[in-house]
Amino acid sequence: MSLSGLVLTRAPALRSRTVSAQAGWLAMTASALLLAVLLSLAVGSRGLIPGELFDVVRGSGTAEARAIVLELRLSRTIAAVIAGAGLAVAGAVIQGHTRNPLADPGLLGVTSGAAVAVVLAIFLLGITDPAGYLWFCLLGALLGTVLVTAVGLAGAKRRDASPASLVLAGAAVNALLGAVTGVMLLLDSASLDVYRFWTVGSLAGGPDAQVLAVAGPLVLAGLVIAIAHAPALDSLALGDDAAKALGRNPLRTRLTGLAAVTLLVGGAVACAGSLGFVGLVAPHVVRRLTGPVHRWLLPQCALVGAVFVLLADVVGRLVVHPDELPVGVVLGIFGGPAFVLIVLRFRRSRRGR
Amino acid sequence: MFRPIIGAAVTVLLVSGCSSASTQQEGATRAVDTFLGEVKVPEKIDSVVILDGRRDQDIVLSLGLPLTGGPQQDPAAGYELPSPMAEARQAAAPEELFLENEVNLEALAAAAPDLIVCHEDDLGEIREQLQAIAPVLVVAASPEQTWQDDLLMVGAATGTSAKAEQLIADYDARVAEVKENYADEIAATKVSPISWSVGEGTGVRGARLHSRVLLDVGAQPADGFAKALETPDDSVRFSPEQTLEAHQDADALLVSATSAEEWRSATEDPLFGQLPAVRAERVVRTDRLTFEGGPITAMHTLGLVEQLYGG
Repeated sequence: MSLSGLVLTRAPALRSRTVSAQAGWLAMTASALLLAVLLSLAVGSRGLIPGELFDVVRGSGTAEARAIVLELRLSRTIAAVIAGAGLAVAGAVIQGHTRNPLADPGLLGVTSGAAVAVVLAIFLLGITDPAGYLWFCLLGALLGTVLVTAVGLAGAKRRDASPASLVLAGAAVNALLGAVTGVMLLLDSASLDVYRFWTVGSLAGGPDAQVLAVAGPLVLAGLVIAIAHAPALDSLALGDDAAKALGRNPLRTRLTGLAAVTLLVGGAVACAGSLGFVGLVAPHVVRRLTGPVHRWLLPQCALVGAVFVLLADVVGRLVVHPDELPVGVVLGIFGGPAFVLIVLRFRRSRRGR
Repeated sequence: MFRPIIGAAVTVLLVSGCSSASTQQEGATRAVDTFLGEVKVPEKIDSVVILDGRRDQDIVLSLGLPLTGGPQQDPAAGYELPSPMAEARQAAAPEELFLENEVNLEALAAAAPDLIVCHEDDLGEIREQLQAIAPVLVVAASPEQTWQDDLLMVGAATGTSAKAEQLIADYDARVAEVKENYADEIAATKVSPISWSVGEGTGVRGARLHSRVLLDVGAQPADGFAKALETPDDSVRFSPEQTLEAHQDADALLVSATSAEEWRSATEDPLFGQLPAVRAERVVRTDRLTFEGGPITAMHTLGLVEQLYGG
């Protein structure tokens, strides 16, 4: 028996679903995504009858319906798909790397790095337009990750190479960057006004096409790297020693994962701000469908994450009509209890071992 | 957020601030009944401080009172249009004591004014501290309180009643003139005073000064404006998707967009661009400085209304 065969024998969960079952789930979530996209295009504070929506899709329809669907709802729908897919896949990758089911994309300093950079752009340069601070957001996300990685690697040299070093470095850097952001917000109320919308996470008004044109390819690139990296994540799930025995270099694997997470989260937060719970909850929901094999888990996470954000956005448009509840708030309302359930299930499963 | 802390700290400073104020209060005073009860204002007023910078400032400047201190206009608000009060304020050259909406009681006490005129919004938890610094006159104490009511109240308190009455008469005369000059246009034009917020859509408030000026000249309210006037809080909001549906019956629009970004967002919005009033180029831009004010702002707004009807 080959080494990989041996590993799969020792980890029956990794081969617990057949290919046809996985393909079936994939088709089902793809259909759910299609429905959520149609719902997002059809539902809003200005009611459109299905016929009007159909006319717009066919390229006709009234000027008002075309403007509402194509210029307001389409851009926020695309942004929701990009943000949801990016955050959910990033969550699955980071949970795989840290072997911590409660890890989320914010753990690596991507979100807090982006936040510091956005606030700096508003505070120092007076930039309040999302397209204006897009590059600051991406650069901040990158620097946040680099900082966490550097601190994590330094800690690993002195301590050990376990993912705990990365988690601790992430917590420390997040606290530091959070403090820097807080000081700047205290000094400038105008920054706070813009920042609070960004940090809650909102798709209102539809993100700028320029933002989508940059964020979309970034998330796509992150997705490709993450899926290509899926076998390495499966190896890491068995522990660093087993991964090494399977020919993986844990450091190189972690750096690849960090690059994927940076691209995914950087693109996602540029589109919709800092959305909570998607990266934490979506991978857990998906694992119940696909099992833990990452080559199935990651594409499913992309689809389910997008569905989560789309549905949350649709709910947000309807509950406080004609105003809107930001998508980040809706995700918090539903994601909070879901998170508690995950923690309780996690504790129960550990007790059962 | 810092008000209670600043309030506690300022009590120490008030000891010195009050000594000069109490000396003046020992002299002749005028007593007026106000929102805060009876207020005794010194007959001789050398310095007036305002807290808000809208109706309070307008009334103080209109009455020719010695405005010596007030808030600094928040540069982050992005005001692009010149303030209706810019000229009068420049002439008065008041000291900027704190940032707009961030009252600093220490700076206020150090200025040792003879009189404080403030908006009801600014009173909050600092009422007692303010009263310890100087007599306080509150404007816009209730939604029903018009700028004319406040002008007469401050006029009575400061011995400038005649000037206050003259300013109201001037406004009424100008309103009558606009009504006469544009009688046909006013009767035939449905108007709405809307505010534009980036990503949040539009809103109409009947209690705003520019809404009141439109009603004073007998404007025909468009549906959105009429709906706002029917609601208990005089206001109505419409989401970005409702822009065309909400304002398509308006023949002319007074659009409030304070910053360049807000105005760009409005003019680039596909639904705003489809509004009949926009297509007919019957849109006059204003900003949030005409939401609230006194005689100067009201006269300025009458100019905007003339533009609206005169094309």
